[in-house]
Amino acid sequence: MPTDPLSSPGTSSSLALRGLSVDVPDGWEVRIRQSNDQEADGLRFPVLHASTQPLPTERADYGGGVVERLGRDSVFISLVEFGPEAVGSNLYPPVEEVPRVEPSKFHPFQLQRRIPGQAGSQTFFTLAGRAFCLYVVIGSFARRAGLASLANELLARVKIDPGP
Amino acid sequence: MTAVYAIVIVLALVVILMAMLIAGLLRSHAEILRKLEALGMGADDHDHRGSLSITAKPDRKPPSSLPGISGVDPDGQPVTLSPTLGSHSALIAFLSTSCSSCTVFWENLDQPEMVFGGRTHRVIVATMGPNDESPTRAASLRRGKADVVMSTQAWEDYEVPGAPYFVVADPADGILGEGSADTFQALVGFLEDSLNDRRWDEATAARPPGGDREDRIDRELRAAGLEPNDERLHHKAGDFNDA
Repeated sequence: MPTDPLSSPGTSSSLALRGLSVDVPDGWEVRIRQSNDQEADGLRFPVLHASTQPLPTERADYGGGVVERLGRDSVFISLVEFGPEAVGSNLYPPVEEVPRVEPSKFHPFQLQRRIPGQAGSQTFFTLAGRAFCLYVVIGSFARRAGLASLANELLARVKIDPGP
Repeated sequence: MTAVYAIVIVLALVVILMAMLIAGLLRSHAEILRKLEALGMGADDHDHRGSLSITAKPDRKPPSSLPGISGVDPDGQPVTLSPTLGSHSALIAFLSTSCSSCTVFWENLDQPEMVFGGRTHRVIVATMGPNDESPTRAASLRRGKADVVMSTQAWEDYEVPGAPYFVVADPADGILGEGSADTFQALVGFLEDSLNDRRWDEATAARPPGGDREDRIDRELRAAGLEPNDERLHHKAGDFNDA
């Protein structure tokens, strides 16, 4: 799997940027970019977006521009990195692999922005010396069991390496 | 008298200069027309469909087997797009940063979603990867909010013979058609014709076999005062005597 987008550009469905990589399964769209938010020292951390429906070019870090159009059978995933001050803190406990989501963790109140029918899940963790928020939105709270499994298919293919 | 000659000479020189200027303008105008003609945009080119060859392949692939378009955008950020996700058909425009006939498409395909034939299409512009094309040139050619992916793999997956080349993929039906077009009007015309033909096909498929003929017969019977279930339309034993 390439660790840099220019190491093997446009030649496989494995995407990578700044130590965040994913082997994209069929039926998913993925984009990795720098965060919209800039840290005090000018750094921009990477943000990975994945969805089972088209990802527009303009998106907020937590899915603004995508979730408004999320279908009932669709999933949106955002993996947002935070700065070194968050690494290992109580809110970001260390884990061994990218966490999976559980149907019971989804709730409409977990959404950044309430949209009728949808539900969200937020998980904070530290992996490979880096702190992340995993935010997952499903198009239907009633279908959370199947949609959580769908989200986990993608999450199982996400790899986080130590930062550059 | 000398002054008059001088004025005549000056005027003659002015006329000659004007004539040379006009001749130069006419020549450059003719040159522009010739180049437009070569691009299929000639002033007399009313039938833009003449230069188009977009057709569905007989061995059309199902939507599930269509490969994603995976590469980087012109800013170097990794991206994988799936043309058959969502509810809209996708127009994949395989363009090059160096082909002159691609310019008109770079300029017109400026939104990630565009309406053709009254129906919204997702628009994806695909160039070859940054090892084969200039990313900075792709960034400068990108217009508006166009979704541009640089991916040599996509060109191989879709067996693109050269630029410009277009593939229309539908979430339900897979690839509807593919081929080349050398004018934007030709491309729009193809998409509109394709949509109208699909509507015609759907309407035809929804109609029962022989429906037209039966409707006509019913209309003619009613005009003659006979309802479809009129007893006089059905034979009874003894109606015919073969003896």
